[in-house]
Amino acid sequence: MISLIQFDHSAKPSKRLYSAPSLVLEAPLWEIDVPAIVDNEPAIPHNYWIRGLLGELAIYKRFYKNAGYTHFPTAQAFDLKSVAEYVQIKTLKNPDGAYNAMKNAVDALADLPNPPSGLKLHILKKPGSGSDQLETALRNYIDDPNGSILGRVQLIIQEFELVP
Amino acid sequence: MTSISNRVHFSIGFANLPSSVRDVWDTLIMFLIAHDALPKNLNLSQMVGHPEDLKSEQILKLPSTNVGDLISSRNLSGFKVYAGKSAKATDYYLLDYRSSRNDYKLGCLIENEAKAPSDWALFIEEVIAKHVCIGAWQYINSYQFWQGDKTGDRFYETRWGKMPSGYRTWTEPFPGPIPQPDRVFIDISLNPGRFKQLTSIVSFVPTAEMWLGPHFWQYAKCTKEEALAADFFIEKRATPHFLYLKCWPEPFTRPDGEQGRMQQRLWKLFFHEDCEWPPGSGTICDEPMYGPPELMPDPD
Repeated sequence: MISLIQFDHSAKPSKRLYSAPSLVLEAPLWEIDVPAIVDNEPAIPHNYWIRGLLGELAIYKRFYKNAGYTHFPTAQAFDLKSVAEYVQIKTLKNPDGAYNAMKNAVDALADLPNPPSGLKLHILKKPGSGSDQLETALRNYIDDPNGSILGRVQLIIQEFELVP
Repeated sequence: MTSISNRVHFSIGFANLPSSVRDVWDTLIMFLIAHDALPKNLNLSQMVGHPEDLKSEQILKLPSTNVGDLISSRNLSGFKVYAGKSAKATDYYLLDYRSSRNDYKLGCLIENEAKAPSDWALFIEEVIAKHVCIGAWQYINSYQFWQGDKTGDRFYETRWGKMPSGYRTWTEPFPGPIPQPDRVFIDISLNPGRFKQLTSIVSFVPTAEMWLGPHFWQYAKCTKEEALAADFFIEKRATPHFLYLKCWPEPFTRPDGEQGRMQQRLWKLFFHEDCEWPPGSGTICDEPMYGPPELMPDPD
């Protein structure tokens, strides 16, 4: 398990964190919520947050950083930003059970003030997990020509491991 | 998980923020109460309509009857509330368009098994009598979604069945640094049930019933008087706040046959535009072609 002490929820990650491969890239991303109970308390909320931050950092370093994006770990509704788009990263162990949470993420992204032309929800899922139902339901929600999103949010769902 | 809703939805477009968001909300909940359709609790977005310092991704859960006071105390310029899950879910929203802030849309998403009214006419008229509108429409969601769906990828056939062979298609690169397949689109510009974007968030919908407000006519190719003079409406009612027009007894469910030809008349009247169905045919066919089984006419 990864200690919470390594992460300060309110702090902006230092440059050192972005360049610390051993800390970030070798963590067991999909095992972070095992065990689910720690000291008789559900560990899930903390673990989700750690898993999300590790996923954000890893995908940022792997793809987005060199494409000119900046990481905003404490921003509301988005994690990465470039001149052209806002990106919200989510890590999901059980995607097909996460429709309502992802719909909320789409809404929050679409409701950002003065957004650039591109808005993207990028879901990193546990390898082997099912996501067909989630993708179908989210695309139905996003693509509705008279709904509230109007096709303005792009969706990526991809399997992900910290070590490619 | 949800399939595409075939319920009656409404959409009201405003050129300016309604003078009282609280009043719009109160009108909505009174209408829902009258139809025994107000959920006990609602989940409220703290993004929509919120001032910058109060924006939060956290969804606020509160009793439905408390939402109005929160709208007032936070001086919200819009709202989005959710209730229920999956096939019983409902969303109601008053959205601004985040980059322009000069047009607003009141709308809903009502899933197939949700408790909600099936006729929004009285609600629409009460709202637009008090708040000047561009227009308002009510329609069967699945029909208008099908006709307005530009998606040309595998989701088209997942939603609607076989894709008509006559559609013109094009591709656009998927934006961003993650390698993804190109996006595929279809040209729906002659579909009888397509939408026409009037402002950044408000669209004209060619529906059996529509309420056209004072701000509509700047977008139309005809005048209010020419619309009133058209002989194909089965009901017309001019009020100081809107022109109500009804051209078909029920919400449209087909782009072909007499329904398709009626939508064609609406396009020719309001925008001097034409229609065709199926795509590429140059005409409106008599027999129903394409579309999901639930939108096919009864064999009788």
